[in-house]
Amino acid sequence: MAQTLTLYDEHGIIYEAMKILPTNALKICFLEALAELEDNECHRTRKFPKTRLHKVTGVKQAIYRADIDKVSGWRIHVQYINHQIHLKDIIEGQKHDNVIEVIKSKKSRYE
Amino acid sequence: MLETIETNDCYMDVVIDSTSRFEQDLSSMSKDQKDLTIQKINDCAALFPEHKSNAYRKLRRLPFLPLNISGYDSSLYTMRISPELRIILTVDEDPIFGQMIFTLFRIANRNDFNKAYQGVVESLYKDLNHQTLESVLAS
Repeated sequence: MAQTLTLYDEHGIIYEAMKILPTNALKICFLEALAELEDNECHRTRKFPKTRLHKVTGVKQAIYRADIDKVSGWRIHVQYINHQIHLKDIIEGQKHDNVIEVIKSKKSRYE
Repeated sequence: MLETIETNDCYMDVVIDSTSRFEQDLSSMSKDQKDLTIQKINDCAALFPEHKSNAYRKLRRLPFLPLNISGYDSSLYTMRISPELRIILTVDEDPIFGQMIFTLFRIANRNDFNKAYQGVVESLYKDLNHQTLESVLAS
């Protein structure tokens, strides 16, 4: 059996997701996203192919954005606290502004 | 000698991301200004893995910074390049991927700083609570 991190849902995000996600396919995608977020192997390897987990820019707390579905843009916000995942919000997709689109990424030194 | 308290968080990698507006600002600078800007960014980034507190001392929050966005704190800072020039950037600690992420948004001089800063705030936090953002921009 796969090892998992503890996943908390203090804000009732799972209930809300089941209520507002418009199709059964998206509801299944949401459950698959949760499975990836709590999968210890994904955290060990730092690979999240389904959710494309990444840190939300501009927020000091460890808030992450995880895709429910790449095409529709539905996503989840989670907070990482002491090796635990806390579900914070479910958000409908919208286009991102170009201002925060990263065009160059370097490790350690800007060149 | 002044001692600083370091946290236990250890970020092995520093990732420096830049936006198209930042690259545009940089390309419009003289060679000397450009070299100085790059040096300041790299000096600050080099401090982060082992001297996080010292690195944060090179950054400044502004009085009209959005301190609280939907219950979260902002990681938006400015970094002084010269008396006239500032970089607008975010510094995000990313514990899941074990890295620090610098995102470079703009280089602004004194005259157009407020406009540049507000533009960054607006784009950065539009995903979060709009009511909070409006109150930030109105202040």
